[in-house]
Amino acid sequence: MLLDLINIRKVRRAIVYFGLILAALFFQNTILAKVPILGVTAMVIPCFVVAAAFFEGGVWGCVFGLVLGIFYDLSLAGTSLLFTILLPIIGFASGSLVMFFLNRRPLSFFLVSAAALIITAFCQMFALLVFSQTKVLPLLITGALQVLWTLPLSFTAYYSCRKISGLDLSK
Amino acid sequence: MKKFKDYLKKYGPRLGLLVACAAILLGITQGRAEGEAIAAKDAAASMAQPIKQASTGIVGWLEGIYGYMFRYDRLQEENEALKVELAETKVLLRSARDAERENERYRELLGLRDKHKHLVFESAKVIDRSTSNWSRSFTINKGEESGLEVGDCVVDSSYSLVGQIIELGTGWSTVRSLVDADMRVGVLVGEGGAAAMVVGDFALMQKDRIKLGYLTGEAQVLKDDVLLTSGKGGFFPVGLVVGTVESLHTEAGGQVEYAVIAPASESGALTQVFVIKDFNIVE
Repeated sequence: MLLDLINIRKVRRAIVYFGLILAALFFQNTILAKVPILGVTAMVIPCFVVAAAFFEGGVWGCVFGLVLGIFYDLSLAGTSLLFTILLPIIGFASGSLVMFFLNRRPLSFFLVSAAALIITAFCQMFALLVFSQTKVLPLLITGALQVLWTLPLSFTAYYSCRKISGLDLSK
Repeated sequence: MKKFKDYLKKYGPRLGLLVACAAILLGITQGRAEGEAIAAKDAAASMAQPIKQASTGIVGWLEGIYGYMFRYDRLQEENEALKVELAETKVLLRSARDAERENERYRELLGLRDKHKHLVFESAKVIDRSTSNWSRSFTINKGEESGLEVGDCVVDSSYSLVGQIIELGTGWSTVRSLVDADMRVGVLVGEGGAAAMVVGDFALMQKDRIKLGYLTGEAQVLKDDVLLTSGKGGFFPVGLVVGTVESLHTEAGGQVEYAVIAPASESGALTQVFVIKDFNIVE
């Protein structure tokens, strides 16, 4: 009886996406963090949120972003809530965009990912800019390099989410 | 467009509320105690610790193999140089012992109080490094169960300052690196031991350097001067090596002088550090 109330397909998909969250965190914190180029590492987390939202819609994108944001904030030093708030917004916004205005092709994903990465970098530098009175140019260079290094890697998120969703874009 | 507006109206407020609730809940629990990790964070970090230790071990093992295969000649040269350095140090140590005995005799003659430095160390291993481009920190494998506290300073094997503990959990602590943009350390600089302040700088952080600022008018700073902690503030014991002056600069306008400091410790390459849990210094 109780099993009839549960949508097994959705639960299975949620479990798979939870696995993807853990994989994304492992990829970011264990692999990418150890490969700085010009002192800056890639930041692929927002791309996973955009990818999930692209193939599952705004609501799933938001929930995926919320869970990933909480876990990522917990993995960072300090007591920031930045990703807990930012990633669900990115998830919902990109999911809504793809549901009404954009297609799910790689180019659209690339553009939305780039926008998400720029917003993330801006939010990350905001505290330093306002509270620590750091000079703007080094912050902008770091932000730009972070976006630049991440964009080629964003497709790992795109193709993994496309595979999980099972969506056939050729039709 | 209408469908889009309807969609936003239908789901926007609900999801906004969900995110707000999650953020408030996380914020409240995080604000519980300054520097003390929340239960969720503590559990997540403790669970991730074996993975971090394993990955650090694998990376270290691979680096060892790489070093043996491709850097063997350099390591051999380094080994020879270290042997020479060790012999020179032994000579210095012998003369230092003589000087120490002489010093003790003079102290007794003059009736001076014994000068001593008592530091309580806790050895720890670096198990993870900062994943953010906007700060520099690392995680060590000791936490509150070892008696560590927020604010304790961390040094390497040569008493060079590495950083300061900013967050504690069970079996782990987060250490803010010396080069982090938020780091502040009171130092003594130059022959006269003028007081100044080492401050983290975001632009220099990318190059693993720090800035020596707040120089007073009478402070004379020269290239290659060694900076030692001043001990003011109570967090850092006096006399820890911070770094050496690499270059001197003037800010725009030429009014304020500052120096770029090369830290004495290479925190990026460290695997073993020592936390100073307690100290008692009589100068």
